Amino acid sequence: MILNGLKLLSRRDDEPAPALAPEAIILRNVSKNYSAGKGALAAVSAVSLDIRCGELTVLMGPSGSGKTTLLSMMGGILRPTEGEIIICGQDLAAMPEEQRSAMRLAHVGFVFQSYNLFPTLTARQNVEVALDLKGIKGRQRRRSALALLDQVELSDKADEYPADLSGGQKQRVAIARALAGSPNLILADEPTGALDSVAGRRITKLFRELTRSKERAVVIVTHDSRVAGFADRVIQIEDGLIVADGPPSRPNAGPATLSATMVRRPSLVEPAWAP
Amino acid sequence: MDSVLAVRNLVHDRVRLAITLVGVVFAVVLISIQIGLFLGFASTTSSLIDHSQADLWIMAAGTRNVDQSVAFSERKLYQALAVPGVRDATRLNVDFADFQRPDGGAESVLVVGLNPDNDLLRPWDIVEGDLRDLRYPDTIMIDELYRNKLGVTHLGQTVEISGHRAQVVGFTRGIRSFTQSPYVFTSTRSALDYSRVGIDQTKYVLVKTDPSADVRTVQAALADSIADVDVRTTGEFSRMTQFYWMFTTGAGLALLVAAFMGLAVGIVVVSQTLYATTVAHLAEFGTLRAMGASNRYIHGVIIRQAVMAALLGYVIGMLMTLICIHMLGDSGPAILVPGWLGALMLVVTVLMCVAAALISIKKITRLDPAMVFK
Repeated sequence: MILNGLKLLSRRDDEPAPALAPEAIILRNVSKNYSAGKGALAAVSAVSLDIRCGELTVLMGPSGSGKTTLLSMMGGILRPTEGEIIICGQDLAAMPEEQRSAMRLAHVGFVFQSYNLFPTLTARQNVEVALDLKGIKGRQRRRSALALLDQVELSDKADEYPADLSGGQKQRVAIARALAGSPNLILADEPTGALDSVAGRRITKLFRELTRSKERAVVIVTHDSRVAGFADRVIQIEDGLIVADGPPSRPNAGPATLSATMVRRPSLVEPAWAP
Repeated sequence: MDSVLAVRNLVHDRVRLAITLVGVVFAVVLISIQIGLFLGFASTTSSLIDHSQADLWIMAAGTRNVDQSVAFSERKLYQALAVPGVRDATRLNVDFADFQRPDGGAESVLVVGLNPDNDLLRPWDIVEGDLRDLRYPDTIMIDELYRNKLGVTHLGQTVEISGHRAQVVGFTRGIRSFTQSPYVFTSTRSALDYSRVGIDQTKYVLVKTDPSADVRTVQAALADSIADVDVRTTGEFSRMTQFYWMFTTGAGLALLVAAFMGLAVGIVVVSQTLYATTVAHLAEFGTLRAMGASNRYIHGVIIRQAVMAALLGYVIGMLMTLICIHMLGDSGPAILVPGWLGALMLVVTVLMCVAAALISIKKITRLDPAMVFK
């Protein structure tokens, strides 16, 4: 909220205040500790965030900084040690596993670095599985799957198996699957990590387009600084703390140690890929 | 889609599927053959009783099976006929005797002495000869299954039983004896010569009740009016005989233990291969969990895999069982696979595979969905 306040302060006084899109997810003082020997290791420490629909947010940070842990908690896969994670007015952190699964199913789509497609199913069937989980059956499910593949420009590959698709195509199938049922939050873990630069750029642009409707937020965890150039917001995490949060070219200092980190990472300021 | 996923997971690795099916088929064949043998033997032990038209059997007190009983006075036949509700009664002698083979060897046989003019018990499934020929003295009928064992080559052949000559006047088909002593059907009169039963004695009295009479009432009346005998309904005596041979001798228990072993081996093999199939697709199940699939959905996929393996294995297994039975033919042991056993085997096979799948389900239940980020 402090960071949002900084953004608002930087707006010119004569500009009309834009109507804020609803929050896709709210994190309040979220921490995750793992037991390590007799003590506890803090993977994420007291993180607070509001991510609004229409925002493409990139979580960046060195390995082990806690960004994937944070993403897992945002998706309700991991339960935080402390704090609240609010989706649609409900606290994910307080829910039992089955209820968190149901919330995940209804509101969150996942995209993984290694695609995690079902190798025994065709591209269409992979998308159909997600629709089936959401209770969409029969011809409607098939039509919706084809429409989603069309959205990622893969309708001509609907009957191909993952083994017959390129890395970029697989990731687009995974995105189509994540879009099944129109979740308002897409969480992507290193979605370009296994792709060449051309395919990576295409996937990133696709994520950018997904937020245009203002009904959906996309959060991408990545090491790839080029992805940041497409983002509305880049959040830098180190040692489980947010150290920077802002637009890619004008990152704002967080409450902790922003400046030094951002100076060490010029690529965040001037992305190699122009959107 | 869960069914599609289950099918694809199952058939994805053909070798693993083949091993799974081998396990299921092995269990199906072993269990159905063993239970079929059990039923066949059980049916063989009581075939004389089951093929009688009698409602009640009178026998010496304490008799436990049809093949081994003590003779009692023939007068009890007349006492039985005097009991209200008895429409007909006839003597039946079943006793062991020595059969002299033409080559000089000897075989033990069970001589069944009956009245060929009475329909309460007759040789059944006669394929050669005429039942009426048994009216003549020293005539016998045997089953064609035992032709070689007894050295009988043709109709009209003269043989020797307990030192008395007898002529083979007919052959039956498929009348097996559980005791390995073949049944030799003859008249009550000739049976007295071949067996140790005295001329004024009988082993059994077969009773037909009036259609209007209550069998239980007549049974009680016979038990009250005739001393030192047991009176059993045909069903009771059949079950008693089956129980005696199948359980008190251990023969049936051995077959049931073998059937149980088949079930156990089947569960072990199928659980191993289904577990391996599940582990091979662990990443996909993890993805499903991350996507928000409920435990019920994921368990459904695994159960469907198990049921599909069960159905495939069942069809192949039952076909192999029927082929085995066909190949054994009449010369082999009696293996009965009635329709209800087929249905039971389907249920057992599905349950076996589902039980085997529970181990996989346990693994999936403990699966951390965060594995998708590793």
